Amino acid sequence: MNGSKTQKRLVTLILLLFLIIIWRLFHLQVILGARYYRLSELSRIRKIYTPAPRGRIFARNNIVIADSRPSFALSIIPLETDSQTIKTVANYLDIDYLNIKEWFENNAYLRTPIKIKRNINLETVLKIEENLHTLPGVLLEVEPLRFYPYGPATAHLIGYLSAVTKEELKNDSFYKPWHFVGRAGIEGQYEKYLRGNEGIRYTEIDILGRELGPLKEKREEPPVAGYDIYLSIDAELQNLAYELISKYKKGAVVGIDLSDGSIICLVSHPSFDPNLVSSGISQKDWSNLVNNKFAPLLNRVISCAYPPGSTIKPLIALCGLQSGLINQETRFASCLGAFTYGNRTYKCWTKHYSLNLTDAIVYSCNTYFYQLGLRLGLDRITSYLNLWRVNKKTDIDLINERSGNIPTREWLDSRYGKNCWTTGIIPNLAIGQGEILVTPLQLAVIYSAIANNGEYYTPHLLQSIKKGDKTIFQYQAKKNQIPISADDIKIIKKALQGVVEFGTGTSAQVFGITVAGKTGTAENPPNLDHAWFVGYAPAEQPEVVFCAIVENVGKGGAIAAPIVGKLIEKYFAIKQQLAN
Amino acid sequence: MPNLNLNIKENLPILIVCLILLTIGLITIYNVTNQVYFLRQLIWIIIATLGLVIVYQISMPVLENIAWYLGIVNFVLLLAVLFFGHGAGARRWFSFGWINFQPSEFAKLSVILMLASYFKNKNLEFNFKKLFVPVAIVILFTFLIVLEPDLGTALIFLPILAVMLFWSGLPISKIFILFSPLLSFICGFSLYLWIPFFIALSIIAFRKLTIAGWLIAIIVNIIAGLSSPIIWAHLKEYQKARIISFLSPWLDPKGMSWNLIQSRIAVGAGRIWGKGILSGAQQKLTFLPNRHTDFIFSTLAEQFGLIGSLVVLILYFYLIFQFIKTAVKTHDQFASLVAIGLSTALTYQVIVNIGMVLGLLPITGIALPFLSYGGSSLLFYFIAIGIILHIKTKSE
Repeated sequence: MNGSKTQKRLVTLILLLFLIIIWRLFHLQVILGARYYRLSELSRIRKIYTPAPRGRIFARNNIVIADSRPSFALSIIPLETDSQTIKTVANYLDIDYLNIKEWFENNAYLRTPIKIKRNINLETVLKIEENLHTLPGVLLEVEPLRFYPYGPATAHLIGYLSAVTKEELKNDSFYKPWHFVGRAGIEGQYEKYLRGNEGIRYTEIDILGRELGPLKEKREEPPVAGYDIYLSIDAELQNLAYELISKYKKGAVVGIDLSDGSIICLVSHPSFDPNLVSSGISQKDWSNLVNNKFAPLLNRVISCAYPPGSTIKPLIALCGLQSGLINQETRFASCLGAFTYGNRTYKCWTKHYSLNLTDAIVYSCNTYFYQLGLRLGLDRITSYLNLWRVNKKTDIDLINERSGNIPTREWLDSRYGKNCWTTGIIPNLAIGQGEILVTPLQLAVIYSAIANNGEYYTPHLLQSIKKGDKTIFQYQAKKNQIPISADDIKIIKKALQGVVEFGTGTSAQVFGITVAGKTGTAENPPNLDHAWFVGYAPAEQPEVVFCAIVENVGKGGAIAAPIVGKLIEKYFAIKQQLAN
Repeated sequence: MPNLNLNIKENLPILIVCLILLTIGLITIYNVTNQVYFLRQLIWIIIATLGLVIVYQISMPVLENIAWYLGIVNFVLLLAVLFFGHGAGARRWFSFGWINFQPSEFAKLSVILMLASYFKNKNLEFNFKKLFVPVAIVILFTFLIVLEPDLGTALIFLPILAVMLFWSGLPISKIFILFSPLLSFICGFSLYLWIPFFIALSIIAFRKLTIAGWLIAIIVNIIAGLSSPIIWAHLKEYQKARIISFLSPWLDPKGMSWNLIQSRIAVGAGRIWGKGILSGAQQKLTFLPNRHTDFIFSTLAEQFGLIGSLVVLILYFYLIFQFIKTAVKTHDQFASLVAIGLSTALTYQVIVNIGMVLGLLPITGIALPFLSYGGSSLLFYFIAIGIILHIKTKSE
C-alpha cells in the first residue's frame, strides 16, 4: 500500500538513530576504553560526602550561641574493608564489633564511607593514624562538630542534635544514615534552614586505597552551609537567669521584650550538656538523661503547666470589674484567715480583715477572691480566662509547646462525669489552684498583655535568617489585642505596683526602677509548693516582663521575686551600657 | 481445527534472531543475579512462547474486531493499577507473588490495534473531525501512564501515533503541525529554542494550511509556548524540584547519577572484545539495582565489548527492518498499520533504553526488549512477533 519512498525515509531515520548509538559505543569502548578499563579493574572510585557546616545560631548583638568546631571522625568504607580491620578499629574506639557489623548489613551505601565514631580524642586519633596503612577502607576525617559555648544555660532554648532515626530516613530523602538531626528547641524548629546541603566529591583511588585525584567525569559538588539563625535572646540575661535558677533544684525563667514579643531569655532547670549529647552520646548516658527523675530534657518554660496560684488574681479581679459586679472599693466579708463554703473550709495565708480590691491584690488575700469567685460563678470566670487564651498555645516558634487548662463546665463534666463535681471548686479556681494550669511562658504573655493595656505580641525567638550577609527572612511581630477597659486595667496595674512596693513582692524591688508584678504559690500536694513571680518594669512605661517559677520551695515572694528583680536590674544595666 | 503449522522455513530467521537475543539476555541475567531470576525468566519465556503460538493463529479480522474491547479492558486495568498497583515509589504493576503484571506493556498493543483499525481505509485529511479520535486515545493512555508515574513508557505513544499517521499517508509537515503545541510547550523553556521553532512552524503552517487553520496553529502555539515559562515561574521551589526529579526520576535522590557513572564505566571497560562471558568485575562489585532489568545493556557491553554490542544492535535492526518489510508487503491495510506500529514500539524502546545506559538520554525506567528481565515486556514482544509472523505468512 505504501510507496518505497515512505519505507526508505523511515528506515533512514532509524539507521540514523542507530548510528548515534554506535558512535557513542565507539567513543566509550574504544576512545575512552582503556581509561574505563583501568577504572573498572585496577582502581576504584570513591564517593565521599563532604559535610556541610550547620548554620550558626546567634543571640542579640551577634553573640554566637551555637557554632561548629573541627573534630576527628572515623569512617569505614564497607566494600573496601574486612572483618579483621573492623575488629581492630572497634578495639581502638572501644565500641562493640557486632554493632558495626550489624550497621553495615543494613546499609545500602557500600562504596561510601560510613561514620563509625565522631569526636574522637587526639590520643586515639594518633594511635589509629600510625596504623592506618594496615587498615584498608578506614578513613580519618575532620568534620564540623556542633559546639554550644553556653552549654547547659542554653540547652533547652537551642535544643541538641542526635543521630537520624529509621523513621526519618524513610520519610525524608534528604537524610543519610550518618546524619545528625536537630531535636527540640531552635535546632529542631529550624532544622530545615540550619542543616545545609552536603557536598559530594568523587575520587579515584588505586588498589592500595591511595587517592589518585578527583574523577574527571564528575564535577565536585561543594557543600552548602546551612543558614544562620538570629535570635532575640540576650546572652548575658540568659546566663544570669540560669545562674539564678540553678541555685534551686527545679524551675524555669522566661523574659519577654514588650515592644515586639521577642523572647530575651528562656531557661529551664535542671539542664543537660548539649555538647555531650550532640557529639554522639552513649546509649547508657542517654538513658540516664531520659530516665532522670528531675526530667532534665523537659523544657519547663513551654512544656510544663502549673497552677498559676495567686498570679491569676488580677485576671479574676478584671473579670469582676468588667462584669460590673464590683468596683475598686468593693469589700466582702472580712478575712479571718479562713472562709467556709458548703461544708469546706478554705484557708487564707493570714488574717487580712476587711480589704478593698486593690489591697486584696497587693496583700494577695484569698478570702476576698473566694467570695469574688463565688459571686462571679464558674462560667463567667472560665469564659473570661478563655478570652485570655489560657487554654491555647502561645504559638512561640518552639516545638513541644503545650497549652494551659481551664476547668470549664464541659471539661469538668467530661473529667468527673455530669453532676459529679460541686461548685466547691470555684473558690479554688479564683485563687488559681486545682485544675487551672498555665505554662510559665503563658503567664509571661498574660502579664505582657496586662502591662500593655491588653495589647501583646505573639512571643517569638527568631529575628532573622541569614545566608552570609544576606537576610533571607525577617520576622514581623504579630500584634494581638485583649479587650479591656482602660479604667479597669489602670486599677489592676496600680495594685501590681503596690505588690512590689509594699505588698507580698517587695523582694523584687530594684533601685531606681519601679517594678510591678505578682507573687503566686502553686499548691502541689503532697509535695512542697512551687513559687511564682511574674513582673514587668518600669511600671509607668513597661518595657520588659519576666516570669520565674521555682519548684518545691514554698511561697513565691521570698524565692521567685528576687530572681525577677535581679533580671530586671540586669536588663536595665545592659540597656544603660549600650546607650553609653 | 486451528492450523498449527508454524511455517518454520519462512519464519526461521526472525525466530533465530529472537532466540539469540533471549540467550544473550539469559546469560547476562544469570551472570549478575542468581539462579532464581534465571529460572523465572525461563518460565516467562515458556509462557511467552505459548502466547506467540496462540496469537499466530488469530486472523487479522478477528484481531481487528477485538481491538476496541481490548482497549477498554486495558483502560480499566490502567485505572485500577493507579489504585491497587505496586512499584518502587510508583503504581505500575499488579503483584501476584513473584509474577508482576504491568498493564502499560499491553497498552502499547491495544493502542496500536485501535489506531490501526481507525486509520485503515481512511483517506486521512488534516482536520479536527478525522484526527480527534486517535489523538484523544493517545492523550488518554499517555496521561494514565504518566500518573503511575512512568514517563518513559508513557511517551512511547507519541512516536507510535506519528509514524502510523505518516504510514497512513499524512505528510510530515502536517504531522509536525499536529505535534507542534507539544513541541512549543517544551521549547518554551528557552527563548532561543522557541523562536526558531516558531518561525519554522509559521512558514510550514502558512504553506500547508488555510488562513484560518494557520491562525489557529499560530495562536495555539503561542499559548503553549508562553504557558511553559509562566507555569514554571509560578511554581514553588519544591514543585520545581519535584518536576525535575520526575523528568529524571532516579537522577539523584536515590543515587542514580552514581549508577550512571558505574554504567558508563562498565560499558567502557568492555572495550572492543569484552571481558568475556561470566566475568565483568564492575558489574559484580557494583551495587547497581537494575543491572538485570533496565541496565542490562551495560552488563552486556562489559562482557561482550563493542563487538558484542554491535551484534546486538544489528540483531535489533534486523528485527525492526523485518517488521517494516512485513508492513510494506502485506495488502491488508490494518495488518500493515499494526506492523508499522509494532516496529515503532520496538525502535523506541531499543533507542531509549540503550541511550539511557550510555548516558545520552535521561534515566527513565524502560525495559530492553527480549533482553531485560521481566515477564510483561517479554510477553508483549513475543505477541508482537506472533502478529508479525502471522501477517508475513498468512495475510499477504
